[in-house]
Amino acid sequence: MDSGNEDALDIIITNVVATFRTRCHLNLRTIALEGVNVIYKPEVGKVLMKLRKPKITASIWSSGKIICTGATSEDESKVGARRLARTLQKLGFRVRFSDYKVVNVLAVCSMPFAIRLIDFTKKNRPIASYEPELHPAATYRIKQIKATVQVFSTGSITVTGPNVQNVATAVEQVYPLLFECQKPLRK
Amino acid sequence: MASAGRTCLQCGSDRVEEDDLYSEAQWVCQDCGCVAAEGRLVTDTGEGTADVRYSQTTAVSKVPCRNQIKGLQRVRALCRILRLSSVMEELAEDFYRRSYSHASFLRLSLQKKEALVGCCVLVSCRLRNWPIAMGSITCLLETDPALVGGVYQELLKILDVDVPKTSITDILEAHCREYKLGSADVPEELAESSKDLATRSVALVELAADSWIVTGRHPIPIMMASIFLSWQSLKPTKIRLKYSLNKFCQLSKMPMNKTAMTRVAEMKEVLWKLGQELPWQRVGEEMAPVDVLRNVADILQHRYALLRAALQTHEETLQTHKETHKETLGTGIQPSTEDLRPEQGELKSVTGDSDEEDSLAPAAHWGKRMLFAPPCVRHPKIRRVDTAERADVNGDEEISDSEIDSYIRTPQEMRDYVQTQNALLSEDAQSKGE
Repeated sequence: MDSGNEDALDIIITNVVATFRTRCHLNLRTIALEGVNVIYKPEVGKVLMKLRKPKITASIWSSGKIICTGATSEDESKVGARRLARTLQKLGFRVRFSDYKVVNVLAVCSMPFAIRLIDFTKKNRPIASYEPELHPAATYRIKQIKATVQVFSTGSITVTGPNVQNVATAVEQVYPLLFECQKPLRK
Repeated sequence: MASAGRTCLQCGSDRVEEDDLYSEAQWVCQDCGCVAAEGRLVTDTGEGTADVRYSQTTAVSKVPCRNQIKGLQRVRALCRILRLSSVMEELAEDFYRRSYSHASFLRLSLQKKEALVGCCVLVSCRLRNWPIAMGSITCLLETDPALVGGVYQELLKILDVDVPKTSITDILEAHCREYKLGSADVPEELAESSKDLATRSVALVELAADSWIVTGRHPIPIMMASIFLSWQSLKPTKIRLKYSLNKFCQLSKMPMNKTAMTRVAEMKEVLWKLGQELPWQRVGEEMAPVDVLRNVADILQHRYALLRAALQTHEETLQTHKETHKETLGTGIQPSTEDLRPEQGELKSVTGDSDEEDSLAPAAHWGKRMLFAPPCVRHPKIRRVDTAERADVNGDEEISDSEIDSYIRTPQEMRDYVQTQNALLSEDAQSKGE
C-alpha cells in the first residue's frame, strides 16, 4: 500500500463496500426466520445479515441485490460475499454469485506534520473547499480518479475512492500539496 | 375596372369587375352577377401566415410567483437588518432570482427556500468582504445550521462564484458590538467599551490561532471565549474574576454557548504556559491560574517572544530528559518511569529504548512531543487496532458446511423464535389496550 517516496506513510483501509447479485428472487421472511444474526426491516424492504468471520454486514433485497460493507480489504470483501452467497444457498435459494464489484473504498492516512488548511485551500482554489462552520476538514476532489480526500489540520486525511489502487494514487497526488502547506514547528 | 384574364364561370363573359363588399375584394361578372373570385382574408405569404401559438399571442410578461416575491422581500428585510449597502442588497436579490428559477431550487420545500434567502445574503456579503459568520445567518433565520450549510454549498455550485474566505478576526469586531456592555446597560465597574474589547479579543484570537485552538472549529464559541477573557482581564477586579461564563452571557444579553466553556479552558491553558515564561516569574514556581488573568496584558503584548521562549524551554527539557535517559541506560540502572516523566506528559516506554519510540504511531507521537498541538492530538481516542491475520486470504477458499450451518437456525430454534415473537406481540397488544 505504501508508495516509493513515503516510506513511513501508512495507509489503513477501514471500509470496503461491494455489491453482487444472486440472479434469483429472495424471500426476505424466510431469511429472517431461518437465518441467525439477521435484522429484518420490512419498512425499507431489506434484511441485514452480519457475518462473524470476515466482519461484514450485508443488506439483502428481495430482488437479489446484495451490498456488503465493513470489510478491511478487497480480498476479505470477496470472501465475505461468497460466504454470504453460500449461506443463502443453504437456506434453499438457487443462488448464483454474479456481478461482484467493489464500489467504494475508505482509507485513513496520517501525516507526520500539521497542515495549514486556509493556505491549502487558497493554493488549490477550485478543487479544494473549506468551510469551518460546516466541517472541520478541507475537501479535495480529484476528478480524474474519482477520489475525495478530506484533509484535517492535525495531518490526518481520509480518502474515498472506487478501488484501492485509486486511493493509493490519490494519496500520492495529494502528499506534495500537503507538504507545501506544512505548519512549521516554530512559530 | 375589369381585371384582365378573368372570365365568368357561369356565362363565360369577360366583363368581370372588381367590386368591394364590406371591404372584401370580389370579382363580379357584370352580365350574370355571379361572383367569379373572392379576395383572401389573410395576406398571401410572409410573416403573418405562419402558425402562431396561443401562448405567444396572449402572453403576458412572466410574473414572479408569490413565494418568489415573498422571498425577495425577506432578502431585502435581512439586508436592512444587517445594514448592508444598496449594492450588496441588489446583488443578493439578483442571486436569489437566478437561483430560484434554477432546476435544483425550484421544487424545494419552503423551509429550504427560507434558507436560500439567508445563503444569497451570505454570498453577497462574502463577495464584498463584509464580515459575517454563517452562524449569525442561521440565528437570524432560526433554522437548522446543517440545512443552511447544504443549501449554501448547492448555491455556490449553481452560481459558480469564487467566494473569498473571511477570517475570524474580521467577524470578531462586528461580533463585539453585539455584547451589551456599555455604561448605559451595566454598572460602571462591569462596563467596557466595545473598541477595547475588540482590540484585546483580536490579540487573544491570534494567539489561539497560533496555538492550534482555532483551526477547524466553529468561530462563534471562540469569539465568545475571547471576549469573555478580555473582559475579565481588562479590569481584573474580584467582582469580574468571580463571574462565570454563564453569568457573563446573561449580563451582556447574549445566548449561551456550551462549547465556549471548553474554549475558555483551552485559552487559559495556553496563557498559563506563556505566563510561565514571563521574566519576573521565578523558575520552579508555578503561576497560579488567577494570576494568569492579571498578566494577560503583558502576555499578549509580548506573545511572540514568549512563544519562542516557551518552545525553546520545551525543547531544552526534552533534550535533557533524553540525555539523562541515555545515561541511565548506559550505566545499566533501570530508573523508575515516574522520575523521568516530564510535566508535559510525554510518552516513554518502560524498557526505555529510544528506537521503540519511533515504532509508535507517528501522529500521536509528534502531537505529544510538541508544546502546542491540537487538543484532539494531545488527548487522542484510543483505537482498537485489529492485527492483520488475513494475509493469506483470496477469493476462492473452501467454505465448510459446518461453518455455514452455524449461520442457519435449526427447525427447533425457529419454532422457539416464532413462539417468543408471538408472545411479545400479544404482550405489547395487551399493554397498549390497557
